[in-house]
Amino acid sequence: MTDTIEPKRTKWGKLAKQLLGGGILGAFCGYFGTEQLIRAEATADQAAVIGVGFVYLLMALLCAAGLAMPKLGAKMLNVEDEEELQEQRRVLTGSSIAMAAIGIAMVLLGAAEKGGWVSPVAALDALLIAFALSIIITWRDWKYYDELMLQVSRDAGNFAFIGVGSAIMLWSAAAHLDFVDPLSPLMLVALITGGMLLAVFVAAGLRGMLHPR
Amino acid sequence: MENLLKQMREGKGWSQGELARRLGVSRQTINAVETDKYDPSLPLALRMAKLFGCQVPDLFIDHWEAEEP
Repeated sequence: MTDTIEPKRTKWGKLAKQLLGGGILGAFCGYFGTEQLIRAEATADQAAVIGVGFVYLLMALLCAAGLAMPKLGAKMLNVEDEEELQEQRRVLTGSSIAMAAIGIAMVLLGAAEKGGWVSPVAALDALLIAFALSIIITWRDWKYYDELMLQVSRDAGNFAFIGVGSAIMLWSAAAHLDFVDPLSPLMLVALITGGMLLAVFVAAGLRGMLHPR
Repeated sequence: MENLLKQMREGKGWSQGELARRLGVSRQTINAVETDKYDPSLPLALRMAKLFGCQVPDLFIDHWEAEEP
């Protein structure tokens, strides 16, 4: 009986540690990030896009740290063991680079202003580089995706389109009728980028990929 | 779709990783099929059946019955 119960306990214990670690790191970054945004008198849309950027950066960092230290990565990421991490190394490396590039671009975009410490040209350059990198990495790694990964990508695309599209459509309709203010370009960027990330989590969760292993 | 992949795999004494390697897919795919979160493509279902020396309907159970005309 112990044999059947013990692995489940270990799995849920690992999840609890992951949640605790993520929660502490998230709270730490959130606290200092919010403090900085308040100090810089950031607007809501700037805070949104920078916040989304930091989530991308945090995920890229965790993924990269897991790959650099497989023993720790096996505990930190939702994989069975170090060997599985090695099997996924190529795809995870590409994802980490793309997420980091998008995260940096979002933070620079939120911080950019004429005469500020980030120029609009630098922010646009960072965004174009992030786009180019993401496309190149996806193109290069596509052949390493197996059918479940491809299905999750398709599901996530559908969810993002339906979810974000519906939100933008309803909000814009309400704005047209003068019930709310229209979404700013920066808020649209934050909504689309954040929505895509959320859609990936929903799609992966529905396929059981977030279940503790 | 209900399936007997886990039982068949355990019958052979293989881990999810071992089966994934033999089929050329990720462990996540094997896990998702076993936990009924993902129905494999027809080519993968055929490869699974071939690997276990059985027919696809022996591995994947469909309770659908054709209506009598």
